[in-house]
Formats: sequence, C-alpha cells, structure tokens
Amino acid sequence: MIKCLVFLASSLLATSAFAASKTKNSSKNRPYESFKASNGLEILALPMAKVPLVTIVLVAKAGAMTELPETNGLTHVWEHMFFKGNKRIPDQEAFNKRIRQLGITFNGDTSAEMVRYFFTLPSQNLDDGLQFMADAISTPLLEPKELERERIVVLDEYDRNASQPGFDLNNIERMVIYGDKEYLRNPLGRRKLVLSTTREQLLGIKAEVFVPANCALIVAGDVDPKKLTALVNKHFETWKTPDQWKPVDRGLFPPFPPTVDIVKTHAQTQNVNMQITWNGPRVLFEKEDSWAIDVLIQMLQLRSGKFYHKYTDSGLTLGSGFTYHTQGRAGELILYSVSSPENASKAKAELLKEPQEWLTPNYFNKTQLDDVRRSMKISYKMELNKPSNFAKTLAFWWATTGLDYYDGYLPAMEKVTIKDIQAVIKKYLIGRPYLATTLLSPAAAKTANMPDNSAALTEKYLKNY
Amino acid sequence: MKVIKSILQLPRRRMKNAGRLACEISAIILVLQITVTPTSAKTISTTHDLNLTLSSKLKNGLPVIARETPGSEIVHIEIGFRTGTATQTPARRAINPLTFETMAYATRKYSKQAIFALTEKYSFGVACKGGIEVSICEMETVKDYLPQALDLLLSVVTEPLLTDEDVNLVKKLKIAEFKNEEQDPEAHVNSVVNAIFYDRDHPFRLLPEEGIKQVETLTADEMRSYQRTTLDSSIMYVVYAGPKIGKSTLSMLEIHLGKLGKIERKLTPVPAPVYDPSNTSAFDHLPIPTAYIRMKFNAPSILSPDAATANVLFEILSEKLHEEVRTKRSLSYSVHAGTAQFSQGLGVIVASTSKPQETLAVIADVIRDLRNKGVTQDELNEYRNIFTTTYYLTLETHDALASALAGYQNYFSDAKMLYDLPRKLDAVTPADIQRVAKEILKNFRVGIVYDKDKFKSEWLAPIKALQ
Repeated sequence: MIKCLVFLASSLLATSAFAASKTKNSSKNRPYESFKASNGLEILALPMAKVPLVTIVLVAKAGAMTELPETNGLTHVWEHMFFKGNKRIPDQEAFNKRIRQLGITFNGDTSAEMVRYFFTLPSQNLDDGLQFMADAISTPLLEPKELERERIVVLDEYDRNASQPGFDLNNIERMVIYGDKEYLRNPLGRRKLVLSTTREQLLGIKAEVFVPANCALIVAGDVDPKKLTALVNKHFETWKTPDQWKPVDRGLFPPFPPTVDIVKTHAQTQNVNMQITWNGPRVLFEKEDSWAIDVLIQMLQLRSGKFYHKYTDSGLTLGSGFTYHTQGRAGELILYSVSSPENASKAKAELLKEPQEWLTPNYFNKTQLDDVRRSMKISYKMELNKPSNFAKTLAFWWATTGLDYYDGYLPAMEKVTIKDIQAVIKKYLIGRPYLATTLLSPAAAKTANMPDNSAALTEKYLKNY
Repeated sequence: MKVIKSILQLPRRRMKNAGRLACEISAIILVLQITVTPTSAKTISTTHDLNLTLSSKLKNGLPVIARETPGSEIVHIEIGFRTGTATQTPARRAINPLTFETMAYATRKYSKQAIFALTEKYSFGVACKGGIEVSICEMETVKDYLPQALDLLLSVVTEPLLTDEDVNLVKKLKIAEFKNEEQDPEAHVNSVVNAIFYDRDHPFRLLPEEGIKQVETLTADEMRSYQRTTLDSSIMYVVYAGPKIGKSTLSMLEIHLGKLGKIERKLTPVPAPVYDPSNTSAFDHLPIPTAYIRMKFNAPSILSPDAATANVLFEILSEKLHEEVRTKRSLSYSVHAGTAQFSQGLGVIVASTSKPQETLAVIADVIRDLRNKGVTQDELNEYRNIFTTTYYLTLETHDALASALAGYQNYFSDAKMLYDLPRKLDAVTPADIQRVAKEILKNFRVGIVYDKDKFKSEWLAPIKALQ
C-alpha cells in the first residue's frame, strides 16, 4: 500500500497542476489567503468549513536536493525523527498519546524537492494542533537513543523498496541520468549512510533547511484566516531563522547522457514494463515549456485520441502513457507502457517512433485542446472539494515551483496552442538522447527476444551500493 | 508505471484501514471507524446530516437516497447492486468484476466513441466496479453537466453492449492486474494467506491464479447473460450526493430504473471461514530483504451487534502493535491491524520486518495482553478521539459520503444508520473491548513471503499458542 500511495501521489502531482487562481498574481481570486508570521514563516489559509476539521501542513523546501553525498537519505531520517519527541513532549510514546488526545490523523513525506508534515484534526483543537506542530519542528530532541532505534525503522522502509522488482533498475536509471549528482534525486538515500546517521548531522540539516524562512504553514478547512496569524505567532515565534542563513543550492545537474537502452530481468516481474525517459523542462528555468508539456500529457490521455487507440484500445499494450513529474530543478519526460511478453518488442519499437507521430498533421485537434482545458478547470473544482488533500497539494506547489507558477497555471493552460505543443515535442523529444529501460522476467525476456544487457551497468553502479 | 520511490511516506497510521484494506482485497469494503468524541471533546451532532438525507423509492420500490449539500457544485451518484464475486459459483467468481468493468465501454445508446467524446467534452467520469458482495456503477460531475452524465450512467447500467471486442480487451487487462498482484510482496502475501484462510469453495475466495483461469474461459455471451440478471430492483439502490436533488433527476431515475422488475433469487448466507488447525500457516519464498507477514482471522460482520466494538478494538490493536513493535522495539516500518466488515467480517494484522522471529513474538504478546487486560476507560476515550476525525473525513467529499451511505443501505436497507454509528461507538465500554478481544483474537492464519533461508517455521509458535 505504501508503494501504491507513493505512486499515486507522484502521479497526481505530476499531472495535477489544476488548482490555480483565476488570474495570475490576482490574490483576491485565489482560494487561499497568504500572510507572514512574525518569524518570517509564510502562512497560507484555505477556509472551507465543509466539516469541523482543519488540516495543518508544514512544508519545507528540502529533500534529496538539499543533501550532500555523505548525507544522502538523512532528510528522510529527520522526517522520521520529527515524530520522536521534543522539549514539551519528551518521547514518541508521549507524542502518540498527545496525538490521540487531540484526535490527530497524521503523516509525513519526503521527496527530492519537498518535505511535508500533515495533521488533520477537529477544528476546535486547532490551537493545540498548531502548538503541537510548532514544538515538533522547533524543538526536536533528536535523542541519540531514539535515533539509533529509528534508523532501523527507516532501514525496513528501505528494504520494502528493495523488495520491489524495479528497485535496482530505478537506481541504475537515476545514476545514468544524473551522474555524480544522482543523490540529489534520491530521497531514500543509501543504506549505509542511514545506518550511520548521527545527531550532529541531523542538527546540521535542521539548521540548513528546517527554518521559518524555508518553510510554509498551510491550514485548510474550518479555519478563520483572520485569527490564524495570531495563533501562529503565539506558537511559532521562538522558532527562528539563523542569522546569515541562505537557501541551500547544490548547483545544476550534468547534461543528459547519450542514449542508453537497458533491459533488466527480475524473476518477480510479471508483465513487461517499459519506459523511455527524456530530459524535460525544469520549472524554475523553462516554465512555459512545462505548461505545454502538461497539456500534451492530457491530450494523450484522451480516449478518443490516436494514442489511446493505438496502444490501449487495440490491445497492443496493457496500458501506456506519457508523464512528467513537475519539479523545479529537474524534469523527466517519460513515455511508458506495460505489455505482454508477446507484444513487448512491437510495443517498444512503436513507442520509440511515437513522438514523431505526434507531429503529424491532425494528430491533435482544437476540440481535444478545448476538452483538456475544460477538464483541467473541472479537476480544479474537484480538488477544492477536499480541503484535507488540497492543503497538501498547495504545499507541493509552494515548495517545488512557487505559488506564482501555481496561481498562473490555469490561465497559462488557456493560452497553450497546438503549435506550442509541437514546439516542445521538437525541443525535448525529437532527435534528443533518451534512456530506455525494460523490466521483465527471464522467461518473458526469451519470449520477447529482449535479452538482459544490464550486467555491466549493474556492476558499475550497484556493486558497492 | 514508474516504480521509483519519488516520495517517501510514513505508514498511514491514522488513516489506514479503509485505504489499506481496499488495496489489499481489491473490493468494496465497508470499514467505518466512527464514534462520538470522548468526554474531552464535543459530541458529534448527526441531526444536521439526518435532515439533509432524504430517502424515497421509485415506483417499483427501488430506493433512492439523496444526501444534499446546499450550494455544492459537485454531484456524485452511485447505483449499487447487491451482487459480487461472493454471489457466483466458485468456478465463475471472476465473471462479476469482469462484467462490471466492461459495462462502461459501450451501450446501446452510446457507442464507445460516443462515450469517449461525451466524457471528454463534459469532463465527467462514469465507471463500474465489481466487488465482493456489492458492485457499483457511479458518476461524478459538476451540476451543469448532470443531465448528460446521468443519462450515460443510466444507459451503462441498463443497456451495456459488452461486445466481444471490449470483453476481450478487459480480459487482457484483468489478467495483467491479477499478475501484478503477484509481483508486489505486499499484495502477494495477501494471496498466500487467503489460500489457507478461505477454503476452495468459500464465496470470498478468488486467488490471482484462479482469477486468471476463470477470466481466460469466460465468454462475452456468459457476461451479457449475467449482466441482465443484475437489473433487479430488489438488489439495487441509488445514492445521490450533491446540491438539492432536482425533479428532473428523480424523473430520469424513474424512467430508466422505475420499471425494472424483481427477480426471484435464493440468497445463501455466506459462511464464516472455517479454521483448520492443521493448516494455519503458508510460506512463499521470495529472495527479498524484509519479510511480509499477514495474519487473518474471523471478526464480527457488519451485521453483528459487536460491529461497532470491533471497529474500536481494531483501532486499539493497531495502535498497540505500532507502539510495541515499531516505537519501542524498531522491529518494523509498517505494522498495523484492520478489519473488513461484510456479511462476514475478517481481521488482519500486517507487518514487514527483517526480524520475523522477534516481531511475531511481540505481536503475540500484544494480543495476549489485550485479551487478558483489555483497556482502561481513559485509553478508550483517547482512541475514540481519532474516530471523530475519521468520521468527518468520511463526510468530506461527495464520493466518500455516497459510499458510506451506500454501505448501510446495502446491509441494513437504511442508509441513515450511518449517522447512528457515533451513538453506537460511544456506548462501547472497556468490558466490551475485552470481551470481543477474547472472542476474536485467536485462530490466526498466517501468510509469510520471505527468503526461505532466513525463516524458520517454529518462529510461528507464539502465534499458534494463542489459538
């Protein structure tokens, strides 16, 4: 289920930039209000009293992207330690008791460009909930004994990932694409680094990224924005950004490597999983391109379209699509399919030619473009209908792209033309290097005539992993 | 399709049961953990919800439940059928999910291309899902497009074509779905334990390999004929969640569903899975770094007087497992318990661990402790606080609300019983918890997926000793 959640979350985030205000920079039309706390913490409030609940999200611009090779995976360890006690609540048992007393449902997640903690609780407990969040973020004890225990828990999480058939191939893929900066895209980190995490390292991470100037607090649901700032100031005022603090910047990724085609077998694999990855737009640098890419993705999802007919409705594959995980500093465009061994070779050959097909006249039409635009607006309404989830969505956009991008999203979608879509296809896909990966069972490899060719890369990248 | 771990997430400790079990059993499951708040918090008032929930019947007696949310722009409609894999013979259980999943492909009124065009033009979704005891067709739209969406939904329900071509396509997809279950250790261990939890003929059993065989042999003719038997007003109901329900909506429902007849059918009660002391564990070898453990046992059904107590008990059990296994001993990243309540109930305890011997021993200790000592009133009050939040989350979105109401309509023919749950849960006492713990926390069937060289069957002894 965890993987299920992870995949779902990343898929939604990749394609669901539906939510936005009606006009760029028009704060009066945004569904949320924004304020600054006295310590510089940004506050976003989304009042929607459907039920007497509030969801509190604390988000930081942190994750793998703010780590070093020797601290890879430790932001994730820090995320775990968040729940292990602080000055007011000394250990996790007391922490859990307080959670029950306040009726909190909670979770946290760490990705390459974001760390989120989220609580949902009865709105009558908002004051206590904010204090609870403030204590956890500002005064964590990070006791060595607790850390020693939690590292083992994190390792079990690591091992659950390693129990999935795609684990090794995903690691190779990341290393091929990002070279010596691959750790900046790997929130799970390295096993041996997790095992040797020290309190000092975690305190270093706290001072670097878990500071008010690098975080936002989002409160959605049954909340009065007018009263929120005072409450936040009351509980968060002692949490300060250190003097001379600067945002962490680990630089740019190396250029995308030359084309590589990897086939890897794994006995657990049942169907044939293929994907072709190209370098895509980074929102902080190629914002406009990311909008056109998002519209392209939606166009390809249309069941009336040629792509669906060719790959899914025909039975050639068991599911195919094009996806893009919106990120500020990286961009991967992925064309994927799942197929039977019998159809794998044909499907792969077709997928490799596919972007060229998208440039043929009438592949996309104006009706489809209008349908996609309408669909995005309606999806936005659906997202707003669930404030407990919308708060997390807002947190994602705040951390990865900034809210200007988010607020201007739907108006930008309105302006994307088929010509713009063709331009990004040419810019990012046609004639560009790619990484093709295929994951299948040894038996399927024989049927598909796709022999495993991953030995050298496995030796190179995973021997000492 | 990308399997990469791009976001790391803690186990959804508090929001766990519905999601996890839904993923595990791939069916419609009614798990409501709802209560009023304890003494420290305000009591949930359900009067408001009751007043906004209207029950009526079409001319043929088919019930229509409307939960109105004034001012809402979104409409969700669910048409339920009391039929599922459990109501089929063992050799053709897969006909139900296969039929329902194909229904929305094309209808007599709307060709496949017309459905694509319509759903894309108005951006709404219409889908059908076959469950264990209940199957549904549902739609969600903004109110402006309700006439178009409802017309399509009603066509899907009453006149699906189930063409040979579409059936063959869905068969391929279904087989791939069954296969996928086997490659994920979390899903695979569920099949491993199900193989011993349910005997071969139990209505709730459909293992992936059995499903694949059945799907391969089923024909479109059989499915069309089965679909016709679902058009039976005695097993159907409609749940609406949205703004004030309009006359035109009721009229459309009446026209399309109000003339459906009743089909005489013999309903056989689902038996409780039988415990066989000679067959209590199953192991499957996978060379993976952590063991996936899944324990199943019989639990109160939704119809049981102990259903509410069981919901609280499973929350408590889950919390205590987390505390003892994860927090205090760091034996597992993911350990939890849950219940699925159908006409028979089942309990599940799940853990992943690289130390299965210690983990199984601690799980046994937690169970023994709960059976022998129960919980104090203060503890019970604290656990129930979580239900307050869970209850309101159930009411947050139209689809969740419709689904919760549909569950009660299906099993009790009274959707409004949803709002009665807080009172029932508030009445649960520590003595109830201990009594039910003693009654159900036993006769465990254990499935394990792990490296055979790292596991010994004698490590199961503490669990077996609890029988």
